[in-house]
Amino acid sequence: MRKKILFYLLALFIFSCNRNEFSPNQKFDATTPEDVNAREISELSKKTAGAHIRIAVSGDTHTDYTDSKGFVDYVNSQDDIDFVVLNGDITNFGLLTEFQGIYDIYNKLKVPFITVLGNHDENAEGNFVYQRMYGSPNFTFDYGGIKFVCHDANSREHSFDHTTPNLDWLRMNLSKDEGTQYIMAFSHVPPIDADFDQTLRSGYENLFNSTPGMLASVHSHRHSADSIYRANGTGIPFIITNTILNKTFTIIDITNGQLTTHPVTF
Amino acid sequence: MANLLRTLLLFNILPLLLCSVQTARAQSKLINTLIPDQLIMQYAGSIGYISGGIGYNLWKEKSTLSFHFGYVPKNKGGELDIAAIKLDYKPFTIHIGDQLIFHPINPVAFLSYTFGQEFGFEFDSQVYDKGYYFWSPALREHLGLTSELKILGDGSSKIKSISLYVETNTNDLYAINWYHDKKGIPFTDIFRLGFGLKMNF
Repeated sequence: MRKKILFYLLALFIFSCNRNEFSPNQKFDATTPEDVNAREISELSKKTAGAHIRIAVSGDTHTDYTDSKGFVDYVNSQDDIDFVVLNGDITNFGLLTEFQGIYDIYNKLKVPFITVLGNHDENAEGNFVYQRMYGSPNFTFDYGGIKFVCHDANSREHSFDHTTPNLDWLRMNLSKDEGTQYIMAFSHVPPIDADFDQTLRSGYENLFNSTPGMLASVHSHRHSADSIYRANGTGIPFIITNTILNKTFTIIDITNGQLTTHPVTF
Repeated sequence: MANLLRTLLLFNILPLLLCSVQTARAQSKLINTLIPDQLIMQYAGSIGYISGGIGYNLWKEKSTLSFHFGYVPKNKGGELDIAAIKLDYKPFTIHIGDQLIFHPINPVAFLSYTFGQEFGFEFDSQVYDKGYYFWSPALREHLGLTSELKILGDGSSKIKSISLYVETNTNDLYAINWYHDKKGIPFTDIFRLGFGLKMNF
């Protein structure tokens, strides 16, 4: 009888775990997808944008798979969302298995999803994992006459060496592409946060405010109810959205360059 | 691992050096203590694509303490260098015929340390306030189970027996993620497999 139980336990633990692993820190394995952002942007470009654009902005999933699935199910039940943004902090520890866990869930979205790099995602080999899996942390894409500028604003992960956010790269890319009238930015850490390089803050805010056609800069990171601020009380809105951990995301509607937002709890 | 080995050696060698009178017997005893009881090769198991190690039997072969060094090549998700120390315990022994000994379920605990720039023992205190990130990027604590089949030799070779084992393990960070979302992350999903071979002397 004892032997039977032992054999049963043995079979259970061998067959229940199905994965070899070389290290929790390995940068990829045989099944890891590559260049997901490029693929999703290509999918998005096949869509025809209407007069109203609706974006579902989610952030800070960390490894809350349950609520991430809840979010994906909610978005899939809607038919008016153009695309989804996952605005950083996909992981807790920057580990491959965490990136893959969230990818597997977001990949079930019926609409394209664009993934931005968060501060937690830069831990250990996370930066490399992200770049192989999703692509460059600084990238742009166009949809519905709007140029979206996504970038790494996780200054603390770069030891506040004044390279992040990369203002030179932003200056070059904050110009309208052919066929776009407006520009919108996505990055994880908001300028008002202590994790943002405060020596770059005013330069960053001024750059956005002096960019013609700039609509808004959208951030997450703070795990709190949606808030909007304007630098010195004027200029474009800096929008800080909630976290999937709170079962909440933010809808951004854009019509003729007019932008409105509202949180949705699912 | 280098440090640990050094400590181990120092603790064994220092007393001998301090003694002015050494007997040949003591020397041979020391050498016998230091010669490992096992050479170990392992595939995967979270300490390298391939890893090699030496093991020492404890408590009448009920337990093994082993030291490993693992490597993940660039084309397998590296490059990573990893050192590990393992301690296992074999509570059950099942004899199958004359030549096979089966240890079906053996708890194992190990520490792994990943070398390299991205892996500080802790986060840089110049950049992060204490507790900003609570974990060590380099040091992982693992718990797992192994199952081992020992094939006995006929006594004619220096290698007394060969053991084949399969090991499943999880680590502190995977366990934390599971703890925070038990519904979304099945318990078995946090375990990873490795396979190994031991030559027992």
